[in-house]
Amino acid sequence: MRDFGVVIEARGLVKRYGDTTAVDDLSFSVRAGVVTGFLGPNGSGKSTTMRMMIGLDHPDAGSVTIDGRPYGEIKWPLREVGALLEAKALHPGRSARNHLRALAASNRIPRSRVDEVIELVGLASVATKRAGGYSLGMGQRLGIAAALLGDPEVVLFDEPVNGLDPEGIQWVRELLRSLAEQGRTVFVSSHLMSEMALTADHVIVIGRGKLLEDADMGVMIAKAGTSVRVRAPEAPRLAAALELAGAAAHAEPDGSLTVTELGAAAIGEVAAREGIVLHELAPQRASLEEAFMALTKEHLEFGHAT
Amino acid sequence: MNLLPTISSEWLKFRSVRSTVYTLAVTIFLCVGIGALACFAERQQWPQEGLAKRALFDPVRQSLFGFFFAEIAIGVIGVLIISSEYSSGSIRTTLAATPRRLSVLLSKACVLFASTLVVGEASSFVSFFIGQSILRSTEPATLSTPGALRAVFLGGLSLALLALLAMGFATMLRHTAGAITVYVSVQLVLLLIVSALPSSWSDRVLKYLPEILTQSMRASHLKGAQFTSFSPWVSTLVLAAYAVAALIGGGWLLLRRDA
Ligand SMILES: Nc1ncnc2c1ncn2[C@@H]1O[C@H](COP(=O)(O)OP(=O)(O)O)[C@@H](O)[C@H]1O
Ligand SMILES: [Mg+2]
Repeated sequence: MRDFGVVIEARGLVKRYGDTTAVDDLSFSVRAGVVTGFLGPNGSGKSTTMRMMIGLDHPDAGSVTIDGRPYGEIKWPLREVGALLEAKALHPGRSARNHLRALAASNRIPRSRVDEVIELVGLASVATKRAGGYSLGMGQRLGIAAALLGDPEVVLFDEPVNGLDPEGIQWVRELLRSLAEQGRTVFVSSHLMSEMALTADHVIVIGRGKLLEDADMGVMIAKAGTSVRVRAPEAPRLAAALELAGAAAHAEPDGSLTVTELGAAAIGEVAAREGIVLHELAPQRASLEEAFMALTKEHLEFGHAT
Repeated sequence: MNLLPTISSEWLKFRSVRSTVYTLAVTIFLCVGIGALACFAERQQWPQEGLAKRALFDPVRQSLFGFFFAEIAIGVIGVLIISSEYSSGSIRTTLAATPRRLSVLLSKACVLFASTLVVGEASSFVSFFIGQSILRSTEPATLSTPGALRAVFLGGLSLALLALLAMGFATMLRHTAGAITVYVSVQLVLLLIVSALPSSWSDRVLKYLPEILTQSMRASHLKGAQFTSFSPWVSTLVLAAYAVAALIGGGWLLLRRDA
């Protein structure tokens, strides 16, 4: 895996709003060249953490640095860090082009770059229209254009696929992957494990502001114990063979088997060795979602109790 | 600290919103239109005015009568330049692009001051010339009449200072309706309340109210003034001090608060 070293360092971040501790002694680091997913249920403190990363919210304790210094000390921050915030953050009376031009001017980014990013996110046809009339998805694309305006080495995206259609979601995933492949630092939040499973190389999981997990995606998947759904006419015989090979096979009401502790490839090999015909062999992502739910469940329950 | 990039960014933001441009146009329209109406009314009245009344008449101030109304429009512009960033959420984009928050505030203040000064002076001079030509049959002023040029210039400046004051309120309150309410209260409601007090009280307090300060600023002489007020230049300094104080208060809060 590409790895160009640690770029973002959060150390003991704490943020309180009245009685709520939104972020609770959070420390993590984010490396360049990979997509780092920032995962947690709604209200777990992801957006708050990201606002602290770019100096919008002041931490009550701890600090976060980008390339060794606080965001506020970067001379032309848009050229180094591009951030997509959670909420639509633009004036409804201003066009996309003017919004981006104003941002470009503030960081001495050439004007030509404005049209480039508008083209890149596919807003060329509406660039001169007032942003107040944009759909959620268009607003999100404009936010992404703003984040990419300064061609930054670090991108922070807070729930970027919110409000996007399936095509847009696919586009964001590919964008994140390609940014990381170019060696950039990509930090992206989501409340959906399934989304992270598709894009992230590494995940940082938080619940109620606390760090729950900080691991490579592969490790997460292994820990979660991926399951594989198998359909075979001779299901009972296959189940027995798989259990001999060390897997756990569970018969589902519809006649299929849910197999854990053995990967799809290994299951195929067992079946071939035994001469068993397979009609379906499908790794299930849901189990990762379940692992995530289990990880955050006690925190959520604690949350409901208070 | 290089403010130029931030200023050019804020200038682009300022002029790329249609409502700002409209409100500035309304400001000029109110100044000139209502000023002309006031002069026209005075011309009709003039033959019946007694000598004493004529001696107290200030043709400059009469032609700048519309400023009383334009002050509200200019206050709205001062409020919106910052409150619209909070209502739309764009303040976060702005502060992410320029984390030095005082640079943002200072740049906004520069853009606001420069543009409202231009609009204010344009309103002032146009109102003056139109007003004096309407007042021709009375005792009109020219720019060389003592105090006239000063009154016309300070009249324009008063709008720019009020815009800054309104921006200061809005920076502290971060809320459009709230800031406009406070601004209008300070401009008008306070004036009504203080005027209703016993004159021994109101005489001491009135001269500190922004509306009385600006009335003094756009007067060529104070012979006909209903209240004791500061001289035009002192009034200018007091109003400027209010604007700076409101902006400092706003800046202090801007630095401390989460965006
Ligand atoms: N400005 C704020 N004022 C008060 N409470 C806040 C504020 N921002 C966030 N919170 C609270 O902090 C917690 C974390 O919120 P947030 O960071 O938005 O979570 P996430 O982005 O993971 O959904 C929530 O309980 C939320 O209600
Ligand atoms: Mg969030």
